[in-house]
Amino acid sequence: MIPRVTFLESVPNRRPWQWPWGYVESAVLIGAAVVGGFIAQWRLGPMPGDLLAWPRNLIALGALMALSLLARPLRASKFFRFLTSVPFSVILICAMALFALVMGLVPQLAPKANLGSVLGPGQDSPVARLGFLQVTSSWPFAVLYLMTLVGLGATVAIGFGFRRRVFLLNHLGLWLILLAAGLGASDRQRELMRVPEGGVEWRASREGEFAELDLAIRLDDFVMEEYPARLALVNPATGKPWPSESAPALFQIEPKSPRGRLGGFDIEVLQFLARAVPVGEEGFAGAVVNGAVQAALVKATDRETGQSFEGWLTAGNGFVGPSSLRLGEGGADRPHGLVLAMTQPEPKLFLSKVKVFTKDGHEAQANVSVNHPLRAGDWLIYQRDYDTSAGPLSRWSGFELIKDRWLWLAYAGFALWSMGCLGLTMGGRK
Amino acid sequence: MSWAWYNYLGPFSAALWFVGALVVILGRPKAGQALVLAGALVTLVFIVGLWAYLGRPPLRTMGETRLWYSFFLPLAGVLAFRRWPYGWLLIFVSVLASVFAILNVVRPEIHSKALMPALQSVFFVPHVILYMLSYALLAATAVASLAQMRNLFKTGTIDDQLYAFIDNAVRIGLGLIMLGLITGAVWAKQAWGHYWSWDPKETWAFVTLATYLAYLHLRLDRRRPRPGLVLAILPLGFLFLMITWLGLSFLPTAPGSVHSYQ
Ligand code: HEM
Repeated sequence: MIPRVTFLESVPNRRPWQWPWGYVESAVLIGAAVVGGFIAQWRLGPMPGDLLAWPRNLIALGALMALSLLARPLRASKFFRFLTSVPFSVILICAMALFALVMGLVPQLAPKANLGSVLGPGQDSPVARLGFLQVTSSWPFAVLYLMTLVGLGATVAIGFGFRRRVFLLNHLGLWLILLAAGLGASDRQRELMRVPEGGVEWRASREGEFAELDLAIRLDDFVMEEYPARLALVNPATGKPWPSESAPALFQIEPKSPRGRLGGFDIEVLQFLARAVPVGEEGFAGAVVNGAVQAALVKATDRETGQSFEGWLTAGNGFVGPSSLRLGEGGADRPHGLVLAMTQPEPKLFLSKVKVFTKDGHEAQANVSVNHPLRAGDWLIYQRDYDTSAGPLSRWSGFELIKDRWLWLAYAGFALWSMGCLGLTMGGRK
Repeated sequence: MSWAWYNYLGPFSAALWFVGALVVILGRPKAGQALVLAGALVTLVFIVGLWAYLGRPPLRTMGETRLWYSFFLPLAGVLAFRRWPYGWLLIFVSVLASVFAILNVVRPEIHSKALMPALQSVFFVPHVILYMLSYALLAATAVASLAQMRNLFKTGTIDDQLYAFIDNAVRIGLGLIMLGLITGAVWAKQAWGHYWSWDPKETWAFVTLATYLAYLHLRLDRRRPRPGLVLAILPLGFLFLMITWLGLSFLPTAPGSVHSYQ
C-alpha cells in the first residue's frame, strides 16, 4: 500500500481555509497576488525604473525591517506562523523557480530597454504586455520578490539565535542579498565611456548621446598581449575551415613544443615571431614596432604522400596582409587541396594605464584590466573593450563605470551565506 | 601530457570502472570499490599532466570540465559507499563516469590553450571545482531518489537509511552548489561589473537551486506531504542541472549568454 499522506494530514478532516493553512492555501494566495501583478503589468506597463530610487528604497528597507522585527513578538499569531511555515516558503520558492524558467526559455531584453524602441509594433503582443520579455522589471515578479523578502525576513527574525546558526546564516545572508539587489536596483548606475589614448574623457556615452559624469579618466597607455595564434586548415574552394566550420582542425602554436599533427599533416613550427614585419618577398623578421604581426615559418608534411610544404604564415592586420600556405593539389576526399592558415591571435591581457579624477578631489592612478577594476569614490571602473580591428594598436579603450551604493550589503550577505553553506556541507543533517 | 594521451588513459579508466561495476554486481563490493577508485586516480594523473602541459588549469572547455566530473564522481561514489554501502551507488558512478570519459575520447573539442582575460581569476578554479563536486553528489541523489520511489511504489515501505543518505547528500551538494554560485557572483562583480545579471546560465542555475531548495524545505515538513512527489523533485533538479551545464546551447536564450567559453 502506498502511504496516502496528504497535504492536510496533521489536522484530520481539516476543511480548506481552516487554520493552519497549508500548500493549497499558500498557492492560492501567492497565485492571486501574482495575478494581481499581471493585471497591474497589463494596465500600467513595466515598473518605472526609478520606483525604488533613493530615499524610497530606504523607506522600504525600514518597513521590511520593522515588519520582520514585529514577527518575533507576534510569532505565535496565525498570520506569522503561516508566513514562516514550510508550505508558504515552498510555494514561494517554486513560484520564483517558475518565473526563472520563463526567463530561461524566453530571450530577455535588457531590464531598462524601452520596449517601444526595441520591438516596434511587436510591443503590443500579449507576451510583451504581460512582461515576459523583461521579467525582472515586471510587476508580478516584483510582487513575488516582495513576498519572499517579507517571508524570509520574518523567518529570520523568528529563528534568530545561535542554536540554529546554520539556518540563520543561510537565511539572513540570502535575505541581505535579496534586499541589496532588489532595493538597490533603481540606484544602480552603469555608464560606458570610451577614452582615446593620450586623451581625457568625462562624458559617458548613452546610445549615441553624451552625459557628463562627476569623474574624468585620462588614458596614458593601452597595452595588449596576445596568445600565440593557431594554425587551421582551410578549404580553398569555399574559404571555410576544414573539415567543418563547427569543428575545425586546429593546431595551437606552442614555441616550447613545435611539432604536432593537423588533419593528415605533420606540422613543424620552424620559427615563431610574436612581433614581426614582412621583409623581402616572402620573409618576416622580428621587430617590436607599431603594426607588427605574429608570424611563423611552418613546415607541413603530408602523412600519406610524404610531400612537404614550407612557408611563412600570418593572419595579418591593418598594415600587413595575411599570408597562407598551399598544401598540394589534394586527393579524392579534398579535390581542391587544402590551405594552411594562421588564425587571428586571441587576447591574453588588455590593460589601460589610467589616471582618474573625481569632482570631489579624488585622484587615482592605476592599471585597469579585466578582473581588476579600479575604485574611484563611489565608482568602480572596468576595462570593457578596445578597437578589436586594431588589436594591440587600438587607439582607444572602452570602460564600464558602475556605481552600486548597496554593494556592501550584498557582500555582507554573501559572507554570511557562504558560512551557512559551509555549515550545510560540513554538518550535513543537523 | 597532451590530449592525445587521453585516447589511451580515457578508455583505460573507463575499463577500470566497467570492471569495477561488474565486480560489484558479482557481489564483491570491496574489490569493486578499489577498481572504481583506481579509475579516478588514472583520471587525476591525466588532469595533472594536462594542467602541466597546458600551463593553465584545465577547467575551461566542456571537455576539460568533463574530466573533473569523471574524477569527482567516482570519488564521491566511493566516499558515500563507505558510509552507506549500497552497491548501486558504485555501479551508477562507474557508468556515468565512463560515459563522460568515452565522450571525451570520441568527441574531443577544440582544446585551446588560450585562457581569455575574464577567466584569469583566483575564482576560476574554486568556482568550477565546487560545481563539479556538487554535480557529482546531486547525480547520486537523483538515482537514490528513484530507488526510494521504487521502494515506495513496489512495497509501500520506505528505507530510512536511504532517506538519510539522500537528505545528507542533498544538504552537502546544495552547500557546495551554493558556494559555487557565491564564488561565481563575487567573480562576476569583478569581471563584469555586477554579481547577478540573470544571464541564461545564471537563470538556469537559479532554477536548479530553487528546485533543490524546494526539496530541502519540503523534507522539513513534519506532516510528510506526498513522499513520492517530493522524491520526484530530485531527478527533476538533476535535469535542470544538466540543462544548466550542458544543454544551454540548445535553448533559444543561449545566444545572449556570456558564459560560453568554447
Ligand atoms: C539559501 C537558501 C536557503 C537555504 C540553504 C535554506 C535552508 C534551510 C534549512 C537548512 C532549514 C532548516 C533549519 C532548521 O530547522 O534549523 C530551513 C528552514 C526554513 N526555511 Fe530555508 N533555506 C533557504 C531559503 C529559504 C527561503 C527563500 C525561504 C522562504 C521564502 C525559506 C524558508 C524557511 C522556513 C520558513 C524554514 C523553517 C522551517 C521550520 O523549521 O519550520 N528558506 N531552511
